[in-house]
Amino acid sequence: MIRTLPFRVAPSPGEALDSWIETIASRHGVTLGEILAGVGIRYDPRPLWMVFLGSQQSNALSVMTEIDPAAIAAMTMQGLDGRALAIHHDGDEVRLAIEFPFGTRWRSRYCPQCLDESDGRWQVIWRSGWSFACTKHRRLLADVCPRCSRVQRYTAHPVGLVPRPGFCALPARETRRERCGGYLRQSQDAIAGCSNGMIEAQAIILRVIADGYANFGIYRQDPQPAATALADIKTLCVRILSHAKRQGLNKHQRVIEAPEQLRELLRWRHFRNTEQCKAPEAAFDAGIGLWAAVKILSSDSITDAAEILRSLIVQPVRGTPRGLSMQPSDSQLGAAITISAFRPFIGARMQLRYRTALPVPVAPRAWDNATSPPKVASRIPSLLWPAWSLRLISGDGLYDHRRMALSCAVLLVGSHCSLSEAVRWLGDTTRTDSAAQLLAPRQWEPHWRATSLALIHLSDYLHSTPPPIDYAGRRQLDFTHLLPSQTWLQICRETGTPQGFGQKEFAARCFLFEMLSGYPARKAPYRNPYQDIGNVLWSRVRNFPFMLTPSLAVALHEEAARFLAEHHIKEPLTWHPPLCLLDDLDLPNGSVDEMDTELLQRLANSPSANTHTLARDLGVDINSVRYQLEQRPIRLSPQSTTDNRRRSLVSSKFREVLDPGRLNELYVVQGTSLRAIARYSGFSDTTVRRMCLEYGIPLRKRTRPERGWLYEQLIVRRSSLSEIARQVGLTADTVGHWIRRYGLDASVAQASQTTEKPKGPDDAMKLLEPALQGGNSWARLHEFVDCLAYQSMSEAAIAMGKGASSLRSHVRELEGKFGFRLMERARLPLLRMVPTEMGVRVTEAVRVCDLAGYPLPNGTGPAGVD
Amino acid sequence: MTTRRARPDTAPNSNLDNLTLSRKEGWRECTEAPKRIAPELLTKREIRRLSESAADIYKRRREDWHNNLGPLRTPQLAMLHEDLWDIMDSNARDGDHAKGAVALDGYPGLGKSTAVESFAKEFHRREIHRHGKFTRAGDERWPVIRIGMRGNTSMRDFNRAMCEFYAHPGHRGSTEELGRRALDYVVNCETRMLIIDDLHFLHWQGNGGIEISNHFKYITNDFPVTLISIGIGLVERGVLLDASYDEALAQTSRRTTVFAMNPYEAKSERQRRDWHTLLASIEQRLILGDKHVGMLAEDLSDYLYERSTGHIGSLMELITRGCVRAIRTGVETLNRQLLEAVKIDSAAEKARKELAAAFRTRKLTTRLSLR
Repeated sequence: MIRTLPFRVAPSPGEALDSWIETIASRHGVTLGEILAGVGIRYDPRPLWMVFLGSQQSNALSVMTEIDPAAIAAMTMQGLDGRALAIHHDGDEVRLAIEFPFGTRWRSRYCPQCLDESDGRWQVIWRSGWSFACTKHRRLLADVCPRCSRVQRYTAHPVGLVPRPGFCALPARETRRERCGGYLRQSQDAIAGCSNGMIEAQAIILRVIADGYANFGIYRQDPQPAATALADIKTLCVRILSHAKRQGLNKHQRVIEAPEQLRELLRWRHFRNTEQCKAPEAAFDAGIGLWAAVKILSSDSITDAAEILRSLIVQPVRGTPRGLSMQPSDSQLGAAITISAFRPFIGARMQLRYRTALPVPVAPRAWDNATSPPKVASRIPSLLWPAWSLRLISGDGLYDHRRMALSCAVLLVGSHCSLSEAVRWLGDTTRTDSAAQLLAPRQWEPHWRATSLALIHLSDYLHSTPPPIDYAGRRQLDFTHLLPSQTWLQICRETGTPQGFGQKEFAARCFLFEMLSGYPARKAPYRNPYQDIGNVLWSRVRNFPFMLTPSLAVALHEEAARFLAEHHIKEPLTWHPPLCLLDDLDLPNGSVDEMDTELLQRLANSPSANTHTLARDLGVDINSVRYQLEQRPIRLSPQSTTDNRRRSLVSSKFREVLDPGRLNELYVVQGTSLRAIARYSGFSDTTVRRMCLEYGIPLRKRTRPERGWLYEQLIVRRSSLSEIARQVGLTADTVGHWIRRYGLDASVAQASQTTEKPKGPDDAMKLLEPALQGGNSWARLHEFVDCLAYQSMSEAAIAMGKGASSLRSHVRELEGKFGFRLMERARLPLLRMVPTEMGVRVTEAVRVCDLAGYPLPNGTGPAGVD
Repeated sequence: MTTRRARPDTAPNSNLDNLTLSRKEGWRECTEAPKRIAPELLTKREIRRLSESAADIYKRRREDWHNNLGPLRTPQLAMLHEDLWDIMDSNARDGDHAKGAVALDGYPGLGKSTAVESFAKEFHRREIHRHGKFTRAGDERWPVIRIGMRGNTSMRDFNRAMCEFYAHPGHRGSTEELGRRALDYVVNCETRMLIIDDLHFLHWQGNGGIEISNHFKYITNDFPVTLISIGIGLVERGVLLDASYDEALAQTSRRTTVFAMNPYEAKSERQRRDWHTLLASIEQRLILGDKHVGMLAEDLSDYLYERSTGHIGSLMELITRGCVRAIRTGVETLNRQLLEAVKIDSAAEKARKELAAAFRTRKLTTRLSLR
């Protein structure tokens, strides 16, 4: 039968169970063992009943003292379970979990003043590693007995002694029979260095533990459970203790000036945040670390928190900064703040590794089978997917190298692998130093953040979703027999593609190689027969999409599919991760999606188009154009009938109109000129000429116009350039070229300068007589004379403010009246408008008449009079 | 560190009797027990009509009732209570004054213990009602503590018994330590009355007598309690009053007020009236199907006096047993024939023979001459 105790000892707020039971024993003058036996608690040097009191014992104690069992449970460490420590139950076994932030040490700090005021009552929270200061007396807690200098309560009170609250109950050092009896209530002045900051930090921590959640500072928007917040505090505390700069701490906390204190702190230099890591033994160390951690977490944002941490621990040094390396037990927020603090001092690779672009940076993850970098490397082509590359890379320079660097960068994201390993796993397509240089953030500014975010999203996606293509397998394929020449020729025949002279075939093969292998084309295993024109050749390879027609593209894809099937690969030809991962990112090349594809199709149809002009006209970079052309090969526009059409597009059309036999008949058998055939077929001369070559029809020898013949045509007959060109089967430009070459352009200017002039007014009148019929005849004559001052009729019309067509009709009218041509019309830009011989005479006659001042009796007179 | 296992809670029983009342829990239960409610009075016919189970329940309730008829507030008892109230209330003096002690002397079977206990219960209730169950310091309040003595009770046993009453969690300690502890309890639990029952069991004449007497003196002086000793022939043994025996005992006797408890007598009309009133009040309480007015007070007055020789203890025992028999046999009344079959204590049986002759010769009667 359990009897109530005559003396009622109410537990003081927050009192520890052992302290309470000892007080009860002391009050009744009995040993601790007698009380424990009374309630059925088994004595244990390590009082596990302090951790968790069984219901039987708890009920017995409750009956004995008439204190609610819940209140008794609150006095055990069970009351702090999940908030300041964690308790594991393995069946009947109870133990303190080490993995809770700051595993609990078996000991209790104490506040001498509190002990003095409460008559030797110990607080249960003093057992927790989170307790280092007394907020009531604004002082650090004492760690050890002032007499024997040993920590208190690491073992249970001796069971056979009547407890003496407020005295050290450890065995005396000299003789174990006696007790130390150190007076714990004595204020120990030696413990200095407690600042307001520490007290506030302690108050915050105690509040978190009491409430069970944290809502201060950084947690204000998103309150977190106490365990999470304490894990954050622990992470930062350990980092600060192990890496704090002296000046950093002193800047905030003027307590570590004493050399012995600094020496104490230096003990923490190799401290690591492990699971087993317990709270610092000394209240001062704990105070420094926890104060700084709470100060950091009291910031409003991770950025602000990182700023404080940076001032405390970060030393700008080359290489991997000390203090950045993460431990598995680092909390998420703690790690994020640490990484953010180091962000300004770490390079691109580290930034990717630690995912600094995220609002909450994350430490590199540990490898497992599914996400090891070699595994992820098999999900990435050596050249980053074009759809991604052209959005991430701005400018045309080093496009392929940058793509390779980006592929490596994806592997670096959130992983511990090095760049050289990434390069190796991706097929050694680039050099480590080159990739490192290309990945430097300054290369990507101001879009580095967006770029790294894109890479992070990509990496996350690839980790979670295996792509349908095994790129490692593709990289190991033997591409030697991809697109054999025979197949190429057959494709060309079937699709009406000009087969080219070898370079085109090479380009097509490289194009397929790059598409299938993910390797850059330069790594293709094909013999390059064009070493001497290397740059031009690779440019052709790159611009191959410009050569694609829909039918050619289909044929090449079929060939690629056949190749894969031959190697028993059932994968799509190409694939890329969804572009929605890039949404809302300010990417370097965001203009890709704004490209007007319809305009691209239209411009690509124009005769002079090439990838450079298309890129310039569309205001996009050339790689976007190439990619677009690859995705949507150019369709021949039905309206396009000019004779200067793009070869590759035109030739397939040409074959529909003129097959080799027909062309042979026209050109060889009938002897029709190329120009004529061109006119007949609706294609350009050069197309016909090229097609002849393609069909294997030998061309007739080209004629060169002789100088005499050209002079006659140009000066004497005044034929236009196009008229001459038509006669000789050349272009007007070519004729112009020959004219300049023979120096005939000067002769044109001197032509007909020696014309006979009229002798006098009468003579002049006589000459002009046919023109003076009808109204406005003088006006017409003056008009004619004036317009000769200009290069062409239309220029004259503009200068004189008249309509060009009316001016022309007036001149024609005059010529009709005279029965002669008065002027040779302009053939700009080479030949300006010049008067004929008759024209010169008419001009002189008009001038003579003007000088004579004719107003004539029949009403005809000088211009402006009538 | 060496681990000394605490002794299990199997303390050797104290050699004191009456375990229930010598523990605070039993004492509290006695004082706080609700007043019994008398079973309904049914006639014989009604009892016969009860079903078997109902009759059994009725029987059990009546037995319980009859077994606990007392204590009856007899004039003697009332007078004793008055005196004790006087003493208790006048003893509420400061601690530096010694408290007066009380000794209750008398033959066995006269209800000494019952009388003191009923007073102590009343006192306990009054104190609890006035001051609450807990003292101002938050400890339990025990206004009365009762210790029963045995022949070989030593001082240490006595101190331990005191501690035991309070449920002291320890089991060890010297006489001094236990005494100190007991004083602690008395002071902190604000105990005002210490009842020592069966004091006559002590061997006064041996060496222990002086010791324990001194201990009582110490208790009377240092403990802020009023000591009430109950025993048989305390005066005759000269323990308290005979100052000549030993000077050391003299002071105890000087501080002690002695009350005597005497058996009922039938010599004067007043004494007979007392006897009559006692029987009437007992009769009133009996729940028997065939009881009638005057069953005890008129018909059995002489017979009961003869059987009990005026000792209330014997009387109550006789009546209780008679009732049990009356109920069991279905007689449902008390009469001479039934009571003759009931055996009671040997002292009463022995004295009966002398009294029987006196009654027979009419030398003695309990009948009232004036009605």
